[in-house]
Amino acid sequence: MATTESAFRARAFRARAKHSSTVWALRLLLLLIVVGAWLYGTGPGEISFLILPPLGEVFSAIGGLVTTQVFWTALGVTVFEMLVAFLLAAVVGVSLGFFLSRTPLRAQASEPLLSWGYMFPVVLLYPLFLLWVGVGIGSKIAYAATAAFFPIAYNTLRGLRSVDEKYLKVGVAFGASRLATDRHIKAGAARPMILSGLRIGVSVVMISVVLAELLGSNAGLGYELQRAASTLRLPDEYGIALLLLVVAVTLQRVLELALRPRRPGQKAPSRATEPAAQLDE
Amino acid sequence: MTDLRVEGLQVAYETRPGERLVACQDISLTVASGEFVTIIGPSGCGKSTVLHCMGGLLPPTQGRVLFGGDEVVQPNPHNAAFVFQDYSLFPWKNILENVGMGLTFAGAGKTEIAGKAAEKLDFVGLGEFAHALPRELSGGMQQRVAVARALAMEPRVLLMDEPFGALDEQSRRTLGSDMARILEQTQRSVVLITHSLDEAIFWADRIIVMSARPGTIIEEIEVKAPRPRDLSMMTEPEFQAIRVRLFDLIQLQQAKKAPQPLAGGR
Repeated sequence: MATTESAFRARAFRARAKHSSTVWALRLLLLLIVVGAWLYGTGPGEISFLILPPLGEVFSAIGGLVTTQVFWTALGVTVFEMLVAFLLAAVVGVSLGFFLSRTPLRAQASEPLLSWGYMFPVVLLYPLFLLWVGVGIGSKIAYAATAAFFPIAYNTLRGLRSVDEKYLKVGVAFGASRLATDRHIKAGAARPMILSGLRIGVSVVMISVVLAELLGSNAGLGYELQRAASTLRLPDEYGIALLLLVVAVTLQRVLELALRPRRPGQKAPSRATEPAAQLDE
Repeated sequence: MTDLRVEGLQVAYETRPGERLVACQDISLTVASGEFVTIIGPSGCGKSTVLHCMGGLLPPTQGRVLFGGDEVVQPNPHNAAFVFQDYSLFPWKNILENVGMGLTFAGAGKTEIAGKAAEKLDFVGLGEFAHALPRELSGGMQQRVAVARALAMEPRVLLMDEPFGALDEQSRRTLGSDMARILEQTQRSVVLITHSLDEAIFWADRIIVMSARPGTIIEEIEVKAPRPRDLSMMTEPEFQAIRVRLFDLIQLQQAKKAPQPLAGGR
């Protein structure tokens, strides 16, 4: 049994490898099409400089930006806001999720509120955040953390509420305290849901911070982007946007890797599959 | 010496306001130290309910359960530890951690947990799978792990709820006889719920036969075959005689429940 299974796995793996190289080729092709269209548009296409600056100029703008202190300070501010906002949302969201999941009453009362908060465009409240916390980084952090809090808390609560009864029964039968149940049973069973909530939180934080900086701020990449646009420094604007994309993708990748569902107790994965065949019958 | 005593147990549920469903009633039985008791009955007769009450997982509506003279009001795995039908291992923990789970809940130290868990895992013959995950093991092996998890608590009584119910006939025979041998060595009392006639006889010092719902005890049969037993016991006349008796009792019950019997008009 184990041998056919491993053969099947190997075949599936080969098929996946072949598939993924095709996917990457197609992605590269799409990128080339975008670049080609850009080059054509700004060259023979005669698109106005005010709509689309030539690619070369954007790249030289990027080259200029990365040598300035202003850019790195702005980058630092933006990344700092994102990390702090995410951390706040994650800690508060996950712990509140655990707290609310403890009794059915709490869970039932709070779940709709959390899901409404999840669906509500929190950006509508951004002017209020400006009013309450001011135009500095505080308002960006508060706003982004609030926006990310809802999906994190909601997913945590949903995950914890849908823990299979049979695992909880083991906890009761083996005398687990409430804390031990949270830690060893509910957290383990709900882990995929909690992690997916956190990953949504990462995206929401990214979007919210940049949006907030664009809408009203005095520092950060969004602020620089907004300034470049209002003074018609088009290559700079495109440059900052592209750099922001790189920053966001990098940060997202790093956080996603950290939040990836890991295989538990990963120590000797292959050893177990072989003797299983003998003892099976 | 008596480990467990059940006195006049009745469990009733309120299925709908004003509608009461009696799962079992007038259940009185004792389990002596080191005794193997099997409880058999038609499906839905409340035998699992009785077991849950014995382990304190379910409060009785009437009557009480005594463990060594003290009334059982909540589960205490050091007295009576459960082995469930669906294994219920935690898929997010490795095998060793699963075996040590009860000790973890009891707040034992890390080295103590690892040591005891490894010992019990060796005892059920799965020492080399300590770091595997539950899903990498076959159903029979997972059930051994669940037994090791219960044994790690050093309980006086092991409460097994159709532990081989999810396995195919062949594996349940081999695993069953294996398990019975292992448990003989531990000198613990075992209460085993089953709906398999062979299992009920093979394991038992005493078989308790329950009627269809509302479940009551209709017969107790002693099995005097010597231990250790092996599968050849199943071919002996005494075994066959008890099997026929059980078949009668349980088939009769089933026939009473469903007016059209499938096997042979009587």
